[in-house]
Amino acid sequence: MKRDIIVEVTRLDKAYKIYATPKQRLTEWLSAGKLKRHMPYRALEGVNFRIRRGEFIGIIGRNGAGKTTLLKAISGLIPPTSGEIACKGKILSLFNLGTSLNLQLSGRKNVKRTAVLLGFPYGYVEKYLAEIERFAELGNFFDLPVALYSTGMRMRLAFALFTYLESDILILDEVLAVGDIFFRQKCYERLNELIKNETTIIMVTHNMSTVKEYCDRVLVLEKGKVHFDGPPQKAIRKFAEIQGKGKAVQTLSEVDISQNPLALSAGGESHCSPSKNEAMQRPEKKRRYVELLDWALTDRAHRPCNQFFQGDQAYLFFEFQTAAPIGLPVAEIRISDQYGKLIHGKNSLHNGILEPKSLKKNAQFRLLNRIRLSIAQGHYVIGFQLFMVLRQDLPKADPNENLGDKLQPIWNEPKISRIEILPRKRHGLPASHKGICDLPGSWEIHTL
Amino acid sequence: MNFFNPSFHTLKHLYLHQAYIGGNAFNELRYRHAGTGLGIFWNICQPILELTVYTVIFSWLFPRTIKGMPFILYLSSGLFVWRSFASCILRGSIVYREKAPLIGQTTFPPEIHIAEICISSVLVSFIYYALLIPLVLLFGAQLSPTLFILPVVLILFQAMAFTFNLMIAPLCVLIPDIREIIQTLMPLWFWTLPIIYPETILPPHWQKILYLNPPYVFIKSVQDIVLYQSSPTAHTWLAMMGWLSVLLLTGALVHAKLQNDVRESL
Repeated sequence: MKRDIIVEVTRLDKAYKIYATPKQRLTEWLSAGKLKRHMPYRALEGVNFRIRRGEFIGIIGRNGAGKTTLLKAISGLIPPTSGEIACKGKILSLFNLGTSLNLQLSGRKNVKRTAVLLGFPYGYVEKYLAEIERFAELGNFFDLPVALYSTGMRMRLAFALFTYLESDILILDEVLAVGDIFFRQKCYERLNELIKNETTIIMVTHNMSTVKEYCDRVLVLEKGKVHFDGPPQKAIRKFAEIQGKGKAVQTLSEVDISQNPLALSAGGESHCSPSKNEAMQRPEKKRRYVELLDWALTDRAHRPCNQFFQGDQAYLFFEFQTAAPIGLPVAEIRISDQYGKLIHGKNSLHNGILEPKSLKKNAQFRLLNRIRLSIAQGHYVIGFQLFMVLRQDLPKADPNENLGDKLQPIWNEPKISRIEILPRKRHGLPASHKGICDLPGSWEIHTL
Repeated sequence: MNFFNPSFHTLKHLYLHQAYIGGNAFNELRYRHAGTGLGIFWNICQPILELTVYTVIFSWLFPRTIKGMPFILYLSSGLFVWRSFASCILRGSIVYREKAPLIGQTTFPPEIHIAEICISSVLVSFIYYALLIPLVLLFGAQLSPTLFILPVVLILFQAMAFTFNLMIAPLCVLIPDIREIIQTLMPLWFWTLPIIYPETILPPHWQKILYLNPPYVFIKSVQDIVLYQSSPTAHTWLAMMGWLSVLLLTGALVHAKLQNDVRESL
């Protein structure tokens, strides 16, 4: 192993024996292995990679891709079935925050106990106690039983302990997906310090913002194999591909707009509504007045996408066919945050669209929503609803007549897609704005 | 796998983590009944209640004295040591499930968690026998320097519980039925030992067979020390050490063989 290589994994295979019932295991034992009753499950297959000292490696993949197995194998918790894992230096693995704490003991005693469990000498942690206590912000609770702690306090204690114990390789398995935003911010600051100190960090996460922000390199695991090993941006793209139904999503260069039957031109821009938006889950069709033929959520470059930077333009396409004659179609988009709070909701009436006033049976129509996602970073849910207003209810003379009561829902999908908004750094600031949304407006400063 | 290697590694782990085992055994004892009104005193209340029940019931069935000793004294000398042994085995059958987060997430040797339980059982048995001293004086038996050998025998008996648990703990994770079998068989095992009855009521050839029952030699040694102030003979020491060695070799071997399966299962 070269000097700067700290982890080297060579042709790593890990197969688990899966027994449907304990009886099957017993049968296999009693027959001295002659009667095979287990189902082999290959969690890892031919995994090869190297990690340099001080690298921040992200491991992403779908559930069951082998991420945790890989981390456990590197940590020495489970032996490989074949292949080799060579590691230099002390490894510290944090799999579940707070689960290893003894509820009867105080935070202070738990810190000492856990340090020993992690293989540090007795008394080693004493010199870090003050720093851990300060980081965890537990106050007087530090000397009270952990059973009295809230979940957040337990997580703070566990993370504080892990990041203050010295290690060459820190392994984190989705540990930063929990806790409040303040705690997470603090954890990332601490991770930055560790990175400066050349601690190698291997992190499994589903948070793509973290991957983009911190990782030097990302491994994309799929079905136990390394599907991709490279820079974060490309890795996220590869991950989005495999998140689709096993098919790759077309990249911009691969999309031939002219040959796409759904290619359309609107407002001087050419857009592609990919008919095979594999990354999205197709909603269940609800046939009454209309039938959904296709839909897509894309970025400005017509690529199916569910990750955007702050301020990016997103395009939402729908194609419907009427199953019965309908009045004026009214399309509505709703964006809600992770707590279900409505951030934005707007329908085509808000844009003053009053055409076509009616559609016959079997007529096809396309809806396009362009939306600038000038909102805070985070995860959001997009909802879509289609209404109709009957011809006789349309305003004839008074344009200010309230149509809200006359909207008749004909198709609804409250959770059509999940999107992630990534922070856009501007002018040396970490995000495009502060708060929930970026309202149009600007500052001017004049000297007087 | 070398036959002796697992035992060697187990003993090495116990030696390296002796401070951790001691500290956690004390905590285990302290917090076992956490949240209850009497707390740590439940460790004493339960055996005293059990002793009272047995004494009242069996005083009618057996003569007032057994082997020249009051029945209550004879019963308590064996019952206390059996209780701590049985409790240790029962706790050992669930220890890996209880400590699953630690075993599944750290490379810390799992047998240390078994050792914690055994040491806490040793501490409990020390408390029991400290309580027995007033009983001994009350019923006219004598206190002698031989009592100093008692802690050694109690430790050896719990060491045997540890070796049993090396086998039981991983097996109970992989085949949960074993835990149920143990819970069912423990009361039966109790009746195979001369704790409530004297072994002299058994036919002579059966008395010899008792030595094949591992706890017998330890319980007999405790009874001899407490009741008759006689220290175990060389033959008894040999039998105790023999059982310990055989069970340690077997237990450590089984434990080493199943350790990875346990980690993967938890």
